[in-house]
Amino acid sequence: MAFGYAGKILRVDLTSNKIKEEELKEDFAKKFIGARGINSKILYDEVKPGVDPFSPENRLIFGTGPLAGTMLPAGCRFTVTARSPLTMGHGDANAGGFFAPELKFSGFDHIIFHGRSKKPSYLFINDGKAELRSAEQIWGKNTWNTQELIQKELGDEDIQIACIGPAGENMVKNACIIHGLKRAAAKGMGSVMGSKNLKAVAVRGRKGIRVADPKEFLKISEKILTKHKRPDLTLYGTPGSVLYEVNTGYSPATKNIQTTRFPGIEKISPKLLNQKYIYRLKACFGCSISCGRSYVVKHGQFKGLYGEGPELAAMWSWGTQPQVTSLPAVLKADVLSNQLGIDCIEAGNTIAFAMECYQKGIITDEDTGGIKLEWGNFKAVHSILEQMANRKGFGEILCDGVKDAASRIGRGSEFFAHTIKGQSVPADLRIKHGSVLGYITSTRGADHLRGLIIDDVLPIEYIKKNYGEEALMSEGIKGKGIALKWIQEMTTLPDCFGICKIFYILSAGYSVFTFENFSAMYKAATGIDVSEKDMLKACERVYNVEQAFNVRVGGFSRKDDTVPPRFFNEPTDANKWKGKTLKKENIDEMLDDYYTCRGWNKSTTAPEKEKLLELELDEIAKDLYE
Amino acid sequence: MIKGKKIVLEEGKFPSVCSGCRLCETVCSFEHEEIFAPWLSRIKVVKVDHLTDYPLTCKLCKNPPCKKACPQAAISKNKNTDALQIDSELCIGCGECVLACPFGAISIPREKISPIVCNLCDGDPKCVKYCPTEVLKLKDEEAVAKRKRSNASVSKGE
Repeated sequence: MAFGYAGKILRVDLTSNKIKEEELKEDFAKKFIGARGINSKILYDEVKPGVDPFSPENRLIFGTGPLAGTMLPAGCRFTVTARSPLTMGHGDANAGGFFAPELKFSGFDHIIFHGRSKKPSYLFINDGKAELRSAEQIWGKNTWNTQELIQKELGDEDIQIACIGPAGENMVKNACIIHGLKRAAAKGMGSVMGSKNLKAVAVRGRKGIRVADPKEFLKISEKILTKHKRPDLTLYGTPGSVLYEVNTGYSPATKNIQTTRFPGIEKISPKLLNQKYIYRLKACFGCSISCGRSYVVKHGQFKGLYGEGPELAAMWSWGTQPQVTSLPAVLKADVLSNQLGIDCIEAGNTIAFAMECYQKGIITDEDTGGIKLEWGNFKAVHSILEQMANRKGFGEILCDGVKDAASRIGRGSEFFAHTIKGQSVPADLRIKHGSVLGYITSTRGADHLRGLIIDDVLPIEYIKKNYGEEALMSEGIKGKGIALKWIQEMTTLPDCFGICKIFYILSAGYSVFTFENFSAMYKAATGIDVSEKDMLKACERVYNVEQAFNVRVGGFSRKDDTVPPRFFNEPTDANKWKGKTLKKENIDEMLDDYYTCRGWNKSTTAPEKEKLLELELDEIAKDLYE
Repeated sequence: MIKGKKIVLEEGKFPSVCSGCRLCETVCSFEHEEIFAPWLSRIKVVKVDHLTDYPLTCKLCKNPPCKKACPQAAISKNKNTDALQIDSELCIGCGECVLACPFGAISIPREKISPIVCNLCDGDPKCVKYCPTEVLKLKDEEAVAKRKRSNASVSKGE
């Protein structure tokens, strides 16, 4: 493994303070590629049924892939994987920035944590040497201060750090892992890290990355760097999609998905954001598009506030969902969530859910401790965020995500707790059949990134040609299953390579980069020849490993592959589909078709034995069928 | 004509700014060392503060302090490009050049004996070629000044 990969896995037992190096074997790498793929397989192999997400036996796995840290644009991604406390099944989250390249420079592709440290600690890898250090001095600090203090303690400001804030320390299920000012790995990973008493992972090194075929690698990279541009994404960042969604009749979630109308939306428009607050670009490592920006608030109540972003999800959670019409207030919530280490999607959805409870009189000032959870009240959003991270006041009820909040509040609130497998939904899914199918079959619960939209907003030629016109229509049914399978496989690949999905999939509309391109990149980098067909198969393998984990450990079956009841019972007011709801029979038809395409059992949703054997997952076939 | 030109940062209106992606460092190390190792880059992106990055490389001084400081006379200027060149036979790795440069543009990474410094890729600098926001430019500084003079005159006139 001389090329592409760093070639090593670090295993850290936090209970006994023992650190061990393992070799990353080529045949294993070839089968699961890297980052998310290898993480997922390690999780499957090492976390058996019955292991609680917060128990020392759960694993917390950091991983990056063979293309991260190179000149291939946007090679900046790492994945964190664990059994998720939100879904109780497979959990993983992915973040950009500069951590992934530095992890490889430090000498490792993956770090596996297990056990629980007796005292708060952090891991420092310095050029191949790893040590656990005391984090007692920094326990309780926010994510920004934590990183500064560690850099200061170690005397090197170029150390890259991924850490948790108070939310993670308090094992708040909404917690994420933060790197830099805002790069976040969410899906409850921060709380698992907190349960291990692990405050941070700090990496630094000077082990460069060599590629197998430098000439070919340069040629491939050069082509992408010079040809693939998205000036609109550079100009407006991911919040630009808010504009896009509104323009195309899609609506970002607002008022906890009671409506699609948000009268003040123009007050938080991406254009205004650019005019008044965006300061400079702030790209991840090696990204030639740079959807990342930084912002500064120069006047008013939040004068002096600065940060990176805001990302689309922050615009949803702190803007459209609670109907906040003040951009500086949105930015303040963005900074707060990043500093406290709270996932903006899950926390934003929980606050919107609580606001609907408040609107309907299910909860009152008495429950909230006097916080007026009215739509648009940004002060309430800010207070609840602080309370959530510290498990204080009404935040104690809301801090563990929408599902737990609804079961704590009860009184009929479950109806508008929009979750899929315990993970909350950040979008109005009514009538968008492709998105619905993607959300309910994602291996990490409700999620907009595994099965990215295949409805009529993206005219994906490949799908039209291979799976028919209907596969691309919002209300279509035919062809959705097979089209989604292809999409899920395609979105798996960048995650496994350690490159950015926004760059290679979203900004490219699934059309610029093909499996042929991806397999050429992999070969030039690693020297390992994996055909286009085998690359696709590797992605399918990864998806099946995650699904097997969900069935075996998560206990999921077909009943869990469903949307929140509101989408069946309450018609949408979106112009295009006014008065319509989702129909159960349509979903069932699509699911049957999808499971058939996948080779999964239609009632248990477990991969069938033949499928597992076809994917050379004999050991999983044994677990599930013997 | 390359002579008289140097790598300059010329930013414009947003988003025509340095994005801090550090691709310049990555491609530089690959060009010169065939390895992705930003610490071996001849151009360095300086983190000015949390929100601002600034790429810095050899300024091609007319009267280079590094050259003057070298006790071995190992530093000279390339005839075609005016970029610095280091004679590794003569160089003893004393680091006087590093100390003398007011910009920190010349360095001796611990993997090396002789210093590394920008050689303008012999006239086709890769950092300029691949800079995604196209703010790194190979220019005669007088051309930049001329543009600024012209801008200044226009605004005065309004």
